[in-house]
Amino acid sequence: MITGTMFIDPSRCIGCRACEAACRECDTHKGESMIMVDFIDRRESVATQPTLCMHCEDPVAPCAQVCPAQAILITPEGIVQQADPSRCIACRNCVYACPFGVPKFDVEERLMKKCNLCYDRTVQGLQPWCSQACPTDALWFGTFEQFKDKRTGRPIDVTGFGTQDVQTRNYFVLPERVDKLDVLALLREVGAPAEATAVREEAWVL
Amino acid sequence: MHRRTATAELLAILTVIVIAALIYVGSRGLRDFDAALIGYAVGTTFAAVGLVYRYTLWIDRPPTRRYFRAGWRHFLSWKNFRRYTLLIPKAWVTDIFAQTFIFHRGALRWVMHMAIFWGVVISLAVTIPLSFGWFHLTLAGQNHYRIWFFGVSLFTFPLGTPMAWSVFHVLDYTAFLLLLGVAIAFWRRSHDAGFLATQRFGFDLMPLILLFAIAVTGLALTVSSELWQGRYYAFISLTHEVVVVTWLISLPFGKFFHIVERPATIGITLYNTVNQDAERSAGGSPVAGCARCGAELPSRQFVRDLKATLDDLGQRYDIGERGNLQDYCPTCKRVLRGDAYFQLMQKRFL
Repeated sequence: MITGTMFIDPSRCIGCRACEAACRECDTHKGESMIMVDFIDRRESVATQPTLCMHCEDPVAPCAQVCPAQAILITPEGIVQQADPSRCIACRNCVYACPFGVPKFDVEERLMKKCNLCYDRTVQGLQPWCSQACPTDALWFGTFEQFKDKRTGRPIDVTGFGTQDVQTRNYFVLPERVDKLDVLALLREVGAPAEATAVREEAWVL
Repeated sequence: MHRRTATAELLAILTVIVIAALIYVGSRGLRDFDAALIGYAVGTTFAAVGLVYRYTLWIDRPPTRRYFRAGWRHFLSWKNFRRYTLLIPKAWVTDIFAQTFIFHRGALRWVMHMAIFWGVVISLAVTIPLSFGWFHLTLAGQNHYRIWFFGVSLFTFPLGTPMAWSVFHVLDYTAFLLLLGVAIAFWRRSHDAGFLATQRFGFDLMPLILLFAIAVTGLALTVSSELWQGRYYAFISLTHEVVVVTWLISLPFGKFFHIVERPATIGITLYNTVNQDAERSAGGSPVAGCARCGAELPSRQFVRDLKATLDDLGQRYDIGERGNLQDYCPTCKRVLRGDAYFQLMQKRFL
């Protein structure tokens, strides 16, 4: 039984991509990384953030709910697994429904792939590869109580996407004063989107 | 919920009536029906009823219903038929018969799946008509056998030839195919650390165990009649029947439901191709693009349908003046969230 969960603190991410390299070691998706490290605003800053599956609890796994083939199964511990290869019919609903931008789609294999929270390791009491490799604890694995004992910051499991709040199994680490990561309100503080100059960043370490 | 189950129950009852009628007609008023195979006939009917019931409930789920209706609407369009005449036959060959996408997942995996797929499909193509009394063999003269299908004589063949041996032992061939596929599957599932952690006994292993038992007991029937002078035949025959009927009854509930799910992938291919081509020809520009970076999305219709599906599920990701979260590609969704977080942290990272 997996009791731990992931605590993600993007402010500690130094963009080393050790998590991406370590993720490729996972036996459930050998050789491919299911964690993404993105530059937030490459023109202004070197700030990066890691993204892995948040394993949504409420609403339960939007990716699984929009799957027409019921290919995405959820374990009793609340781990949303990648699509069952025998069922995935390659529609990509999950890829575009996920509010966190997590699932990947392999065109040739006709298969959705995503983070399984290193199920092969976590069922044995080990931590996932990404947190194992993270040198700054931007990715930290443990129970809520262990986090409160050892770390500072407020673990928050609710992310607001405008009209939709999503409660997740994994946590973001936010300042003490904050109740949820309210994406729309914060984007309004950022100001108008930089439309034409928005650049799609490619991974610079493969 | 009640309407959904009522429709499924009605279709399940209709399935029984249609199968019973086809058994009666195909076996010439039960004259060609082999009473010894009645267990298989009942098991097959049960499997068909279960599959129809579950399939009806399955296609009524919001995401499935939307694709099911759009897929059939595109398929039944004369305009699409003229424009995409070869698209569906090609998709059947690559996705269903050759399963090339599995080859990209791994060559050994493809060999395994092809062996199991063709082993099961050919076996069912032989045994279902046999157990329903549609296939029927009679002596034609002293040295020939005649094959009947639905009361119509198909052809005769001489006894004691390799062809006759093959006709009588086609299920032995498919049993060897199954054993090859099942052996590879067991080898993979007992050596792969990923499988060892994630596989479930009932969903992933039990179907393989049943297929193995079917193949072994089926081959044992041949061994009994050819090498053991018919000893243990009755026991082996009963065991084989129990195993096969158990497998048939499990079809609607377990992993093998993907056999009837898989053709939906052809509907998805048609849906995406038709929508993309229609939007390209209408606008003369690329299909839908991400609201932030312009990266190609599957199609505008896809995005509309996805939003409608999420709406049906009670989810709405309206992000104010920036539109809807589903208007963005996965990368930009992550960057938007990063922007918000960066703002929250007053742009002070480590």
